[in-house]
Amino acid sequence: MRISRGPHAALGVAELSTPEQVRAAFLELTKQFHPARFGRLPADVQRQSTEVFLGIKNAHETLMRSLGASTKPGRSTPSGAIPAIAAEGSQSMPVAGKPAAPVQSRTSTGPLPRAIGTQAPPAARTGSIPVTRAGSPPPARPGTPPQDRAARAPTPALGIPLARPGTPPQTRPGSPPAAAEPAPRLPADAFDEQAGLEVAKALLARRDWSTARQALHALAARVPQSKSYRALLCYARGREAQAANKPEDAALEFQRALQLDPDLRDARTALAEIQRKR
Amino acid sequence: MGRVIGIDLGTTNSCVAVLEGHEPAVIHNQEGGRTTPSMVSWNADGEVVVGAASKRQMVTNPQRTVFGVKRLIGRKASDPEVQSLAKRLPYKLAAAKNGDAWVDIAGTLRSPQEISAHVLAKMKRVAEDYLGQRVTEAVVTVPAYFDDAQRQATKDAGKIAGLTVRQILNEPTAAALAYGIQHQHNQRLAVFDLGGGTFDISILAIENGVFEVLSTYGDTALGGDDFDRVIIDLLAEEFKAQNTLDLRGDSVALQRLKEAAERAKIELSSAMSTDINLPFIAAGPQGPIHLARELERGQLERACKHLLDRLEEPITKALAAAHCTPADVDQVLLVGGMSRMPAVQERAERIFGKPGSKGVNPDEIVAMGAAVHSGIMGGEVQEVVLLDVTPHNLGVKVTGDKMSVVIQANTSIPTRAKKTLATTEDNQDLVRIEIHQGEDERASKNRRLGVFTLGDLTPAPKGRTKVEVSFTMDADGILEVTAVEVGTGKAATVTIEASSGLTQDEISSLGQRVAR
Repeated sequence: MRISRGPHAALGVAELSTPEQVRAAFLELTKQFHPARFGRLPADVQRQSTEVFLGIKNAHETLMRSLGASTKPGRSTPSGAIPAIAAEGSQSMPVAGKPAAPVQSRTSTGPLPRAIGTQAPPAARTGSIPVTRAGSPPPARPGTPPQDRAARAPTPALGIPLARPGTPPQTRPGSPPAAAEPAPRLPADAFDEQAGLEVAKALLARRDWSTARQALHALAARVPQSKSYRALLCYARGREAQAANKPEDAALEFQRALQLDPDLRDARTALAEIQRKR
Repeated sequence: MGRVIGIDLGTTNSCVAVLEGHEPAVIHNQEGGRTTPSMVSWNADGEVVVGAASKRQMVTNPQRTVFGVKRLIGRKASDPEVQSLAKRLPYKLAAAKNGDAWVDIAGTLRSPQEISAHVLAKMKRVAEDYLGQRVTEAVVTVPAYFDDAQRQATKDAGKIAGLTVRQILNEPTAAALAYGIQHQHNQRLAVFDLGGGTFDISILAIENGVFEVLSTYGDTALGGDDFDRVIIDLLAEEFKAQNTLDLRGDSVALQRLKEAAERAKIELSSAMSTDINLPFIAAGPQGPIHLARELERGQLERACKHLLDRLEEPITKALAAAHCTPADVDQVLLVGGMSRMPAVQERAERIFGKPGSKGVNPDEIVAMGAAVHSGIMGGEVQEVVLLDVTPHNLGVKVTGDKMSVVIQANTSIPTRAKKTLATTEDNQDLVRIEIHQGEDERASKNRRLGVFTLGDLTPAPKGRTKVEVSFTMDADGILEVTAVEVGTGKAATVTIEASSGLTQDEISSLGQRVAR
């Protein structure tokens, strides 16, 4: 999840998206990343998933407000009472009846995303989701099916706060078309590697290959020196290809995984399975 | 990983369901029932009896037979609702050392958590017999309007029963989930849930598989028990006028009245009149006195009008909070056994301008929804997810006993919100952050969830030093509060463990007895 690259990137929508597109992206991500999905995993993973989802939610609220749209289905006017991000700076201190102090710490978050205007507060600044500048979306990859704009925008990856803006997206030939994968790096303090790995493993165990692939991609991007993460990433891609009935692509990915990590037994098993079928 | 079961822990009856493939299935108990009475009895020899067997003892063993304990769980003995309830219960209530309402069974004080745990343990065994494997995890439902302490106490009851409660799910939301998984098109639902002890109303939108709760209101002291009580009072007052004897003073007579009242109420849902026959209900100077009379539906409805009227306000508030008119609601789900009463259905229809949805089993749909949610957590159900809300305001106490709200009621969770507070004295070096939950403007009238302090503040004239308080509520309703001094970054954090009054040791030692 490129939460740290601004709300558009967090939701995986293009900068000029309509409220309907933003909303659709939010709903799709909610289905994937709502903390209930991780409710049976260890507490630290659940915590991480809450942070991730809060990032998605804030991005949605920020964008919908900037578009003058409601954050709830079927409301005609934006609600003024969504405290998730609204509280900062806007609450006057009720004790002494004095106006609230200007909030100083905003400077630490860098410039606000261009799209959201001056009144929009930065998305949850504490925790591990720093708001930085919204990067322009990575270019759509050749061969992307011509769907609506939301679909052409970058596909969101798992919500581990990723991304230093400006890292160029890497295009890898041969990867499945859905996997628009810029490979940015994380600010060092904003990431719990262990929790990220737990999330990814849980997704693999659940055979949710595409989400697992996104999670592993985030992980591998964060720790580029780790061969085992990249191996797992190739394995997940292989499984995804296999599920999409592309055994050749799958075999290639499994081989790559084994080159990176010869001990990855799952990849070996999966590869043997494909070769047997041939 | 083992299976996660879904349990509707009701005031009157409980129900357990599991996901079979993609479909939630209600499990029959050992007696063949699809629901189990939420009743627990202690026999003279100390043996514990649960469910239908306990219900049979209601008349013979009234002081040691506990029903409706859900109305006590997580509440104080001093709570006015508990006080008024106590007057009408055949079993005795007592205050625990922390002031919680407990039950006195033959001189032994028992917590509502322990009593509920017996019911949960029974539901667990029912599921284990059916599945043929051990069960250690559950999704348990509670009224949407339950506060933090009531939720925590329910979680502890699960722990005592040997169950890790993976999620405390709101009952109307669970019902919507069970309904919506079969009817997934985009629509707006109102769930009208009138159970044995509580009334909840939730407005939800289903949009591309995301079930988003827009608002929730309720009354945690309005349910089938209250309708029973109206009938009991009607009969007892009439009896008193004729015989100058108050049947409510005798626990056996009261229990028989309660049983007869419940039966009459149920019969009047289909029949226009019913006979109430209680021979030998009391002993008079001229020998035994019998109670025999006919009760008509119209009489019952007139006597219950004040209860039916209480349904309106929460619904009006819920619609307003959801920015909906009744016409915006596509479907009305009637949930809970009391929704079978024709007068209740008529009232709902009058408010929403449309009849309630047919084809929903009001006794089972909540447990089915809990099973569906277990599938969302386990990955078996991928296409839907739930965005629920927090039902009460959360805030901090500030000068003048004011409640400064940080997270508003009906905010979708998880959520994070912040508020900046300032010092009120010169050179104040310490702030006390007291966290409250509730709708009253005076903090002290709301429930206090916890308190912590942030010390060593930078000395400055009053109002100059600022502290930013940040509330994070996760999807399970657990609240974490952080306070940071603005500028210096000095911080303190507390996770609110709403105390249910039991220590971990007490929970585990009770667990050894209950879960056996």
